[in-house]
Amino acid sequence: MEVLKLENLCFSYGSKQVLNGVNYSFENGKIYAIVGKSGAGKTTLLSVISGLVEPTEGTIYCNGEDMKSQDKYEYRSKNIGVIFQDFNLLTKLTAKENVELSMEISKSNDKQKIDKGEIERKAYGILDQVGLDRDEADRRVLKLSGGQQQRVAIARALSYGPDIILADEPTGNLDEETQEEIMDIMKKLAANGKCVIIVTHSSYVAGCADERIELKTMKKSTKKQ
Amino acid sequence: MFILKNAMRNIVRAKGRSILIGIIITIIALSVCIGLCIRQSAASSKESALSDMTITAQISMDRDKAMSKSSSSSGSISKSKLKSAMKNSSLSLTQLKKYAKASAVKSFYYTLSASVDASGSLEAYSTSSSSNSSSTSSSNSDSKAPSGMTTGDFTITGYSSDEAMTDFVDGTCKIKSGKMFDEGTSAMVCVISSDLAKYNDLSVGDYIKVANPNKSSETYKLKIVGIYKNSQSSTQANMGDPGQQTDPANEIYTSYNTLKKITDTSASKYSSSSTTAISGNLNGTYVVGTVANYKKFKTQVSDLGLSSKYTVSSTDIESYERSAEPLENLSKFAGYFLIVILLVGAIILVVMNIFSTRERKYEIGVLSAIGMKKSKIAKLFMSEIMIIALVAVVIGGTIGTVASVPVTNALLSSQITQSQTKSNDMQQSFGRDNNGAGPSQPSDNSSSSSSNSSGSSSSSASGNSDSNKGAVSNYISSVSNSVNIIVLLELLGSCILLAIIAGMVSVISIMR
Repeated sequence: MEVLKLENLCFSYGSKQVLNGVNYSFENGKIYAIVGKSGAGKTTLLSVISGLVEPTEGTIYCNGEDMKSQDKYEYRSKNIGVIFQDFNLLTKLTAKENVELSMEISKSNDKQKIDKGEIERKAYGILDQVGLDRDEADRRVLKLSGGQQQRVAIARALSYGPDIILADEPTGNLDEETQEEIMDIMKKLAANGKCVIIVTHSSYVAGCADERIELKTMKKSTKKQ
Repeated sequence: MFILKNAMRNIVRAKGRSILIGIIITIIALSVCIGLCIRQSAASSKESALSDMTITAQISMDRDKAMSKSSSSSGSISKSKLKSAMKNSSLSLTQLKKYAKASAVKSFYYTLSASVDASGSLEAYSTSSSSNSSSTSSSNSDSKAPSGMTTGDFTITGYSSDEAMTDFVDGTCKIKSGKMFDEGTSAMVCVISSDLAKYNDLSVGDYIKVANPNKSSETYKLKIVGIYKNSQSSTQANMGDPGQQTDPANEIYTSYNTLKKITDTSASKYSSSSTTAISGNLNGTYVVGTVANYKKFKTQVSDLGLSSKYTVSSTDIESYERSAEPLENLSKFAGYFLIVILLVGAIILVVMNIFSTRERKYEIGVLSAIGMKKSKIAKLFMSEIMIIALVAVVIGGTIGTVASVPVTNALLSSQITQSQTKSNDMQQSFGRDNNGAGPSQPSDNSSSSSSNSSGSSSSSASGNSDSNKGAVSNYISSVSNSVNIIVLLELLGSCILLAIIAGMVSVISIMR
């Protein structure tokens, strides 16, 4: 089922055109790998899709709804989960607190009541799903390894149950073994019906994807072909 | 609520930054508390002192106005014009009583004072080795009689009622033997000071003879019915070479009717144009009670027809203002100090917050990226600084409250010392000993009082001259209980405002 549709998407940094008429549809239950040379606009595309920047032209439909008709903060805290290369976790908080905060923000934006106990339970649960036990969950993120931090980032992205996961070089700072572990998690997410879009330079990660999108030419190739 | 929870967590997790901001706000709160306490002490001292006082008012010639009317366009004074303006300027008893009908007046009393010489065996009390029994000529600067009259050895004052005898009312003078003359009597009786009695070996029941200073053969006999002790006689002696007539020991008290009888008898012996007769200075005192009534009285007397060449004044208020001068100066200084501390504090907090916000750009970016609205991020940052400010205000306010009284008293003491030094230096320039004279005797009043002054003091004949009979102003030298709910609210308000100003820096950065 189509969860995300890009229609004639354009973006430029000043006079420099980075995205020019991107058209694509994304379905749930699949992993998409966006590849391309440096400067091709991969991260820019992700930023536009996640609502961090607005496209200069074109439309993004998320679950059939124009993104412009939604509040961008609600969009980011409901529909999209973003995972960054540098993790972008709040370093003064513990792993559990990072995940809790994300849930609290989502509930607050939705004007829902925040039940502290429920949120705590869910946070531990999600962290467990990504392979972090309780002891690791209660540690400050700076005391976790890179792989563990990336797991926390994934857990945070999943905390409010978004349909779409965007990951910008999620394994860029990790070793091979950890890379594999992270991709295993991504595969599980896709298997659970999420639409996972990964920007990557890694051939391994691109190889794990169901569809590979080369941004420059927008050529499509499927793994299963 | 999750914003407050996260704000608390951020404060705890960033201890160094929080403590630093907290210390700065605590110092500001402490300084502001002390400044506000000083100002509050001054205001409440004034309020309580004036409310404890029974305010009296006097009507006198507005000498400044008379002089300005008598001056020519070049600025020089025309003596003839001035003399003409001053002539017949004293209000009569009838006129004084008319103004006593004002609704603001609670009671009214009057005194008549005159200058007489010693006669017979009576001698004026004197401690000077070169005392003169009488001083002559109108150039005598101590003379209180109108120009051209001779001053005598004694001042004899006639009182309309017991209320008028303020030195006895406030306990400065006390009858040691005998009794006070009856109120309203016209018998030839008087009370004299114990110093004078001892000096002349007089006792109750004896007679004294006084004479017209302009004509020694005109004498009057008065029976001593009482002898009083003036507790301030040694401190109220005039500066430098004391004149006998102004020495408190040489003050004779009698009833108004008695002295009026003497002055009328004297006047009947000479022609109306003559200045030989004993002349009396009539002073009226209106007891108005409160400052509000005093202000009302000022309006009412002009409605009752008081000419604009007269002015209404209050020696009580003037005396209080003198005693409160160091405290008022301190209050003004505290006001400027408050402004400076708040300004400097605001600048420091704003600068700190600018750096802190820059340092937390990453955190702001992450929060925004995971969906937190900018307004909520701004609320979060503002909440952090408000929580720190509240805690700091409580700590600073507590320390300030405890320290305010000793600090205020220490600063006040320094102010008084400064005033005293200034006064002493001035006296030394004139080669005078400043013992006991003038506003230089601080009293240790634990409840921010008060000044002593004699009630009837201004002369209607000689303008606004302050002819206090030995009045001494005591500086307010200590305060207590300077913190009240208003001070606490002002403290809280000013520190919260500072925190908001500092927080706005973060808010503006975030919203941009």
